Amino acid sequence: MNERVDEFEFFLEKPWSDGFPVVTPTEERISRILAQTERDYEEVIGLIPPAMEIATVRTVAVHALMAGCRPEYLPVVLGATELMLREEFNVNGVQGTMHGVAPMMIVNGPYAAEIGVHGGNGCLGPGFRANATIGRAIRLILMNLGAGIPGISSMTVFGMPSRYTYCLSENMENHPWDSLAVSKGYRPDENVITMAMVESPRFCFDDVSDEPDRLLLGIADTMAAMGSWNMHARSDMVVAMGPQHAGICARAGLRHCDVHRRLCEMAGLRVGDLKTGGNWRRERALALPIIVDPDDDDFFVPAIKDPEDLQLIVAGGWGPCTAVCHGWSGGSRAVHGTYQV
Amino acid sequence: MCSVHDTVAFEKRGIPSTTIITTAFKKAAEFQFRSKGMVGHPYVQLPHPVSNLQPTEMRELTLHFVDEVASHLKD
Repeated sequence: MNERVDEFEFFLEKPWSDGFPVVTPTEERISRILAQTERDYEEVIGLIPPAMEIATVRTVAVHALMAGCRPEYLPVVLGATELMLREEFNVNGVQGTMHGVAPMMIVNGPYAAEIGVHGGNGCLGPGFRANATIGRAIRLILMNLGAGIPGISSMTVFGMPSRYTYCLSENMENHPWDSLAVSKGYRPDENVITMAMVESPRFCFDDVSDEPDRLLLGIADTMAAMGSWNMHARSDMVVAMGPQHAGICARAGLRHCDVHRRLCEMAGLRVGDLKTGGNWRRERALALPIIVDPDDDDFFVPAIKDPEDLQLIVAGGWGPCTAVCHGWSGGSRAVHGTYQV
Repeated sequence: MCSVHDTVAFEKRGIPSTTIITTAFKKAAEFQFRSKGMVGHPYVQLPHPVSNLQPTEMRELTLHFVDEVASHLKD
């Protein structure tokens, strides 16, 4: 850069940014971050829809750098980029949709802990470099390589704050069960990312319940709403129980799988209630991958159509709160896999 | 915009295909056709929105576009 070019303004004017200044990807900095991986720098990771620009190890590293990542975060960004390009995740659809979901990254395993991906107090908010920049790198890749930009190819009505970054780990220090990855069959020493296309969280604040039945009823209520796509399509959902809420269940003898099953059973609305507002359509109900009787007002429609669609984690700090993230209508299935460190 | 993606996939296999969108998705559709190497590929625009229409209303609306769809599917 020289005196006539302000490097911060340069990237914002292009625009090659999410609206915030980016770290200038100088050759020296790029070399430093690429030194973190033994992979061929020109190895193709995939094409980022809808623009279908090529993501290589090098271009992913450039975006990680621009997002503010430390070099050691690169393996997570590379792993997440590969993972989100799986067909069933349907990034192409999400890039254009009117909805505002974003790929939430749940990073489990020892490497996440080593580099400081945070799963405790305030983990979905500002203040944690790994969470802030790894998720931001994914967003910059979706915008710069995929052109998922409102007014160009994205028709999102509102966007969402979580489209800046959406990355966390679980609170393993105060976790009464095994991690999400272990619940899916991975070993505890494996480094695993799970990604789900979900909305920003809405909270179930419950400082009254001291036993699971009442507690889970409140959380289940937060999982269902007339305007939620979870009620009208097969959609993913992430429920992040605070350690305090998870502890109430664990002390009563409930395992992770028990809470998961009960939430799948309890969350939902009656047909008679669904009909009174929101996205209810008889045709939509009949198109669901479960049997629904649209003529029976007492018929219970579950928010979770397939147990695989509910990602139940334990995250956040101490306090009587659980975060619930509803899903997208357009057919995106959560994906998970290990990544190379 | 999965419908553009599908149209491109069909066309690349030699199967005539068109995309039906509502007017709200015009920019996204044109961008996707351009980026997937099929700039200017014809598509059909229905007035937005359609998701609140009853099946009979939807049928009535789509009847106005049959000829346009058919014209796009000619070799």
